Amino acid sequence: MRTGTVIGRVVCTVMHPAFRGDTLVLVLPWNTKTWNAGGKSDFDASLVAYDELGVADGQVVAFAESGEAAAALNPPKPVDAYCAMILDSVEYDAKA
Amino acid sequence: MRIAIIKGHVTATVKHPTLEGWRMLIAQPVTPEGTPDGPPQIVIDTLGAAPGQKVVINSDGAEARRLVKAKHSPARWTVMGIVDAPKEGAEQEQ
Repeated sequence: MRTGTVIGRVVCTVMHPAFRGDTLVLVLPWNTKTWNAGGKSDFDASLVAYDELGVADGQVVAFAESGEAAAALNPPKPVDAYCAMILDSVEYDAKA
Repeated sequence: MRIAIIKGHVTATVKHPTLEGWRMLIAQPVTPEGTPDGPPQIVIDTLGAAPGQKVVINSDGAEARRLVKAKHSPARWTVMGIVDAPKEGAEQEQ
């Protein structure tokens, strides 16, 4: 699972029937440079992730992608990014 | 599978129920020379890898789901092995 910062919600009145009323959030994924910058800059291209955890703006999530995103849901939904965890604490040592 | 270096760990209270209780480490995939190669991944670790150690991580979701004993789980990357450090004086075979 990659990590990313949630920067907002994506609200669509007209939606795929499987998503009726579900929450979609906009996530800025972290790459190595982002991690080394403490999650503050150099983000990857943003993506929309399916959210069941009630993520707020500014929180950092670990999100599953491709097959694992759809596999996380029962019944499976047509989803390619899924917020799996809201990170409480991060211990990161760039020089490890 | 990929070679990666453990950079630390994360904790999360609010998460998918099948991820409850698993050690979540930050693994930075690297080239054989050790330079970062791709974004760091959050991996499930059962072998007790420590920061700075080189490990083999596996992206087979089916294996991760078997590990967490769940048919429906976002788990994907798991630590499959901790690479032995080269012995002193052993020249690096290219």
